[in-house]
Amino acid sequence: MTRASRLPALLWLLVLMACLAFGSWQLLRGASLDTRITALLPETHQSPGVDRANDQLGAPFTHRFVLLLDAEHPNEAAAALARDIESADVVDQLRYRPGDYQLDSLIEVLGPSRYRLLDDTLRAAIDSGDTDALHRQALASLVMPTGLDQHPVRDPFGLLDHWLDSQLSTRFDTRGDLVTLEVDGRALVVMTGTLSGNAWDTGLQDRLTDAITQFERDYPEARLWRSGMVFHAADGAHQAKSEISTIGLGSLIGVLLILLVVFRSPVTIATLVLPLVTGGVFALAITLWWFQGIHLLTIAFGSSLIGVAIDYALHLQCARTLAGHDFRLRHMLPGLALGLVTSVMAYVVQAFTPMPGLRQMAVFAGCGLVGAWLTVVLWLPLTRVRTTEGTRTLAERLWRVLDRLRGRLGPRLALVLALMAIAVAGLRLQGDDSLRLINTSSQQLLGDEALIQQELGRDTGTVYLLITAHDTEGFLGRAESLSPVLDSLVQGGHLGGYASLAEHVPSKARQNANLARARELYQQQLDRVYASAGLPPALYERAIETLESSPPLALARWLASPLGESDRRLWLGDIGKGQMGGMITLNGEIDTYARQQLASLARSDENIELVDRVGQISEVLGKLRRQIAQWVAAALIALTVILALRYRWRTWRVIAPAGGAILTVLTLYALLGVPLNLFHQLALLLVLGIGLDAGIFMQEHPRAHHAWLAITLSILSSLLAFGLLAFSATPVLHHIGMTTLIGLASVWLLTALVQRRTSREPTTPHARTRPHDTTHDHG
Amino acid sequence: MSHRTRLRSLTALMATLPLWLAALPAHAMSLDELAEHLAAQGDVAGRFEQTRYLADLDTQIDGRGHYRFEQGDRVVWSLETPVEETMELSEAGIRRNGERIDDDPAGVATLIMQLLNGQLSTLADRFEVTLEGDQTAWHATLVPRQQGLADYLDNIDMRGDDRLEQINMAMADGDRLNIHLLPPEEGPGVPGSSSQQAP
Repeated sequence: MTRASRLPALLWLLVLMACLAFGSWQLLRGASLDTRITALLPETHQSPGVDRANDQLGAPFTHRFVLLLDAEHPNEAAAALARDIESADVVDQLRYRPGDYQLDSLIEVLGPSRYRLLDDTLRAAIDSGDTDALHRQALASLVMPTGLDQHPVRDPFGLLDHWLDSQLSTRFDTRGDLVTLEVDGRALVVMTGTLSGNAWDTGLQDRLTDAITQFERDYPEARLWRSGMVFHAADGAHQAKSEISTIGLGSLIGVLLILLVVFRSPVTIATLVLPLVTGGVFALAITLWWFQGIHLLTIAFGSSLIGVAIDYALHLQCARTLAGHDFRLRHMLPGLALGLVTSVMAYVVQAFTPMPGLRQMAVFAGCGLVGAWLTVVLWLPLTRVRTTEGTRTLAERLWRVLDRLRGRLGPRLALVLALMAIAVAGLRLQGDDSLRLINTSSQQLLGDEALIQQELGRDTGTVYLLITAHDTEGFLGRAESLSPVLDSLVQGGHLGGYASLAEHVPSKARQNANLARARELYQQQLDRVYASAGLPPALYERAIETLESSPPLALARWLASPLGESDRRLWLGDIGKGQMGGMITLNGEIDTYARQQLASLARSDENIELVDRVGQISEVLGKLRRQIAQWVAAALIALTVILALRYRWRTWRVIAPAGGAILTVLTLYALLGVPLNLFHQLALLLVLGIGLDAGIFMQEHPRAHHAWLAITLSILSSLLAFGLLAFSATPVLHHIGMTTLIGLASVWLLTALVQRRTSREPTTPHARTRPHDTTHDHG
Repeated sequence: MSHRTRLRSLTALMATLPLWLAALPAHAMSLDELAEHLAAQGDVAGRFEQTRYLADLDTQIDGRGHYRFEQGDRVVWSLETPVEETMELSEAGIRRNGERIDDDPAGVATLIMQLLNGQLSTLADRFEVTLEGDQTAWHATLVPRQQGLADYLDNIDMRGDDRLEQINMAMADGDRLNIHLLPPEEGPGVPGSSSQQAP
């Protein structure tokens, strides 16, 4: 090689060193590896209320987790579990003993307003006029108080205690010094934790999972149920990681074995792998620099580039191996350049979609391809290749296979088949945009989650009613008016439950009505109570005075108190345009009837909106899927035009392998009833990239055995690398794998079938690396 | 959930403190010894008189009744005047006049049973316990460790000789609840012969 070609090679080396240094520095200082599936989704543009509501409602599920524990010796086991988790440095706060729940200013917050806070039973009792039972209870608790602040003047009837009784969950108990929940007759310890970091931080996930595994090892008889985003994130990351590593390792070994058989030279194989490594380093560094982190799926998807990136190296090295000293790089350059441009275009169109995750993938893919390509062009010619007889024999054998297949698919037949495929796919192909696709949690975890959500009435804040009003009072009144509707849905079994601020803070109107009832009760019974208890009748005036000066419980006061902490997520406050907003979350099973009822309710009142987050995300996924399809179709048309400039009437032979393979996949899915999803489409991009390379190289070097050898090897290695993912249990990887398997097999076959039938002209196995070295053919 | 669990258990604890304190044996001079004796404790029954003193009104409300503790099973606290009311604690939870009080945590009853059976680590978790004197005249002071409880309850003071005689609860607001336990009517099974050493 000349001195002139060494300078760019040296520059490229410097760039790579810089990338390597930057990449390692970023990874060492803990650049985040993101496994958050929603990071792939676009910011949805909707009313600011909904956006804020989504954030606020999702936060507790994201930042907190719940564990239920069933053990022989719950005290000891719970303490051990708490110790394991606390020492793992993953939680800010862990609560499982009654003392862990801060009681604080209960009397201070609710005490003054207690005469305005009456539960349904008390209201009914006063309304019925039969208050003798209340008289007896009052007397007993005055002698020996059984509740908070039961005082002859302040609260002779224990109104505060009654209110608290109605507010408190009946499901929770304490056993020993543990908070428990009764499930199927077993008292399970309830442990809640607040994460000290990000639920998607894999380091934090690992530490938490390790702590729990450690506990399970120490207490094998104990049973744990888990709920919380952190467990789902960990589950997904774990499965994807282990599958990528096992399937990945298996296919890597397979690919290396094949290459070894073909080239019989470890050095040549090393030169094939080198572009992948340098491309990876380049792509990783740029992505880390651009996005300040990298998503796990970007790496998973980005590794699909291996298939395309190895193409360039294979073509170059096959040509050199077979040509020996006759090899000239410049004869290869047009093909290599076109291969790069087309592949990069196919990947980079994703950057135009509004999905941040896809933009990242596009950047990663584009940089990876450019990096690999530069290495192939700048460095590989500097290496030595060994020409072996074995490689030559193999290339000739493959060529004979090609000779048997070539020309069997003419342009007319191809066009008819393509039209048929388009018709079938267009008519029958279904789409699937459900969130199930990206749900990577194990069945076990999903079961745990369902149990805990049902038993604790915990929700993920994905389905809710957004309620707006001009002021707080209007909001509470509106929320209050919805309670009977929701109650009847719950009683009818159409809805699991709901959480509404109106349950804890009645509207002012209702509080005033309650105060009137309390006054009535005092007038009916208080004199008698004092007389029986031997208390001076003069206290009556003081008691009435206290009652009359009772201030209403304000929403802000409640939310600011520790008791109202868990209700804060339900209140948005001022959402602009003079509106106040808040939510009623729905949990448990929500059947069609309930949905219809609530939807019609929302339609009839512009201040009520039914929001279904899962439904929205599915909609976004669908929109995205269609967008990608449109962009890729547009890119394909643009490419066809570009390619036509060079190949004229032969262009169809260039496009046919890629286009035909995509149509084959789509038609097959349409016929088999497999609904097309986003991940199928991402895999089709890989098929497109490899297919275009194959088409281009066969046209650039129609008589060269090395091109066909390289194409075959490229497809075979990609099949091993990605086709194997079809056996993955992770839905995303399975879809990618299945599509790649069918698509790449089709590419190989179609590449052979659409080649021009040759006359029995003898071909030489080497030195045919120049383009246009055959007569032009016109289809 | 949050504070609610905490709150229920506090309410129940306040309501039932006298019940389980009533069953503490007189000669337990260290927590460990107490533990042993609690575990071996027989049934105790008798009458009680109680006075609730209200500091801000400078007045008091008197009550009278009888109690019974059945080892490991049940605690019954029956008020006779000024109104008849029976509180009953067992594994099944808390019953008031035979009716289970809605949503009362059965767990607290179990907790008390465990306490009385000598599992005192939980008691020490919630209270700082000071024991003084010997078995002829002893005196125990319980101070809540947790702020939540301390906001309402200042301390519990217990005195006795062969048996528990007096429980005084001093509330944070100056109110007091004094319970005087009269001598048992029938043989409560106080083991007087086994000599225990004072610490």
